[in-house]
Amino acid sequence: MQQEDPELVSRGQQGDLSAFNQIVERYQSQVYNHAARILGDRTTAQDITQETFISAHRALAKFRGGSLRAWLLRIGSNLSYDFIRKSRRRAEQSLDQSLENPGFAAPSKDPSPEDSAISGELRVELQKAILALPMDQRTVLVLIDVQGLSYEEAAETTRASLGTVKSRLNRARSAVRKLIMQNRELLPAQFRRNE
Amino acid sequence: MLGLIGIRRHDSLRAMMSSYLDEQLTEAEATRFERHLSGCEECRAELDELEATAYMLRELPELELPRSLALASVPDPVPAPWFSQWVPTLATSLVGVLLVALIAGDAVGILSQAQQVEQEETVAAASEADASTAAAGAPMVESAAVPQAALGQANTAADTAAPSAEGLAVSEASADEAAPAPMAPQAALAQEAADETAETELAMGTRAAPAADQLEESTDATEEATESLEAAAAPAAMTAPSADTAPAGTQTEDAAVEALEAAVAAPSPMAALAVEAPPTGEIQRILMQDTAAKIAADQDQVPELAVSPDELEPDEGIALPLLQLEIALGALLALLASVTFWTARRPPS
Repeated sequence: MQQEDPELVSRGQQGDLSAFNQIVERYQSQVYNHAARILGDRTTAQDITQETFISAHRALAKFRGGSLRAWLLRIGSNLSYDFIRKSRRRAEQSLDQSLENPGFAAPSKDPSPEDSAISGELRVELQKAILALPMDQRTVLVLIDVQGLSYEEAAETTRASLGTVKSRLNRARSAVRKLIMQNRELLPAQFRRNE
Repeated sequence: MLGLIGIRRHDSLRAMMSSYLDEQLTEAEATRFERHLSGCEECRAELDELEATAYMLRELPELELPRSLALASVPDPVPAPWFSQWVPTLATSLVGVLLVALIAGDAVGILSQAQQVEQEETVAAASEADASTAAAGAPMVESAAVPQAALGQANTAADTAAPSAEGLAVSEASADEAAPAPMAPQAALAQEAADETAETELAMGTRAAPAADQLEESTDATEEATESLEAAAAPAAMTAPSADTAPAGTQTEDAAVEALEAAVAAPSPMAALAVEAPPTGEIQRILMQDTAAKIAADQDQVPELAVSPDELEPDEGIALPLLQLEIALGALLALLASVTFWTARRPPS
């Protein structure tokens, strides 16, 4: 039987490492995907994810409830921001790497009919469009559209108001739309009707 | 105009497009947006593209994590930056201890006593500095005061020896006063002036009236003039003795008349000047009064150059620097406590 987050947090705060590792197993993929989409570098994202859970374990005593996923994603976002700040050129390099990094073009581990509809080239173009966004818009777009978080949870993660989240998401989607529509030939057939 | 309003309305509704797709608009907002959408081909096309974009983003595959990141052991404590943890705490503690010690010392009075001693030292240093300052400024003050005193004393001697010869004595003393020797020791200068005056009187008296008793009285007068001169060195007794108080003035009047006659007989320019001068008794008194007034004025100026210990005596004012220091330390303590609290409460990155 899977335990709820608050119970795992409580046990983890009392020093139960196995309980904390259950939290790690539950959210490591989301934290990793979030960092990878923001950074555009899967190797760095793995390091950031590792550091996220180490920081979370050290700060678990200060966790005061709310969404555990939002808290972990916030730690991951902040570590990603720090990484980008420390190496500004790294972001530009990651943009170039995304063109060659097969990781962002590969299909998911659970292939579905939709995967075939979105080509590897389109995935790379989408990742490039994400990395071209400002950090605040990039984070909200990845949280809601890629990670599937609710607006409220995204607001909690970014510590922004709901209106700010809506505004950032609208601008981010519009920017990605403009970039993607420059390569209409990559779009799935159902979206190419205006050609 | 209507076109501009339409553009603004179009832009404001475009900003709702993403929220409309995710059903995040209120019912009224959704109705207004749909009303606009029904009449705006551009917005309908853009809405379709935006929906396709959101769909493609949602369909991005989940990236597989190469390995599990479960912790093998409890992580080491946070290697916090050296300055963010113990430096603010240490600084806060030090300032707090210093503030407490200061307040306690202030309350007990140790610091006040220490400051009093310090103030006394300051007063002593100021007195020394004043002494040197006075020494440097003495030619300015005493060169004005002492010749006048010598003038008064010499005049007293002249009154005593020969009232008729006062003009000569004044002339002699005035000559000394006008002489460019203000830097010489004032006592010596005054002594010299008095001696010269006395010698003149003596010479005059001897030449004019060789009587032994007159000579003795003239000598007495000289001695009195010298004593008066010495007394003139005391700053509080700078007023010249009045001619009325001259003890032997009446007795030597005849001798002085004879001395005056001898002076007239002798073709001395000074004596001639004295003879040509108007009756000098009243003028002499006026001069003496004027001189005394100047001396008093000079004496009034002298204390202004010195720093009176009374003025530097510590009293209630000593508490002011301590209070300011305590307030400053208190403010610093509050600031450091805030920094310490902030660094301790800072959430993980």
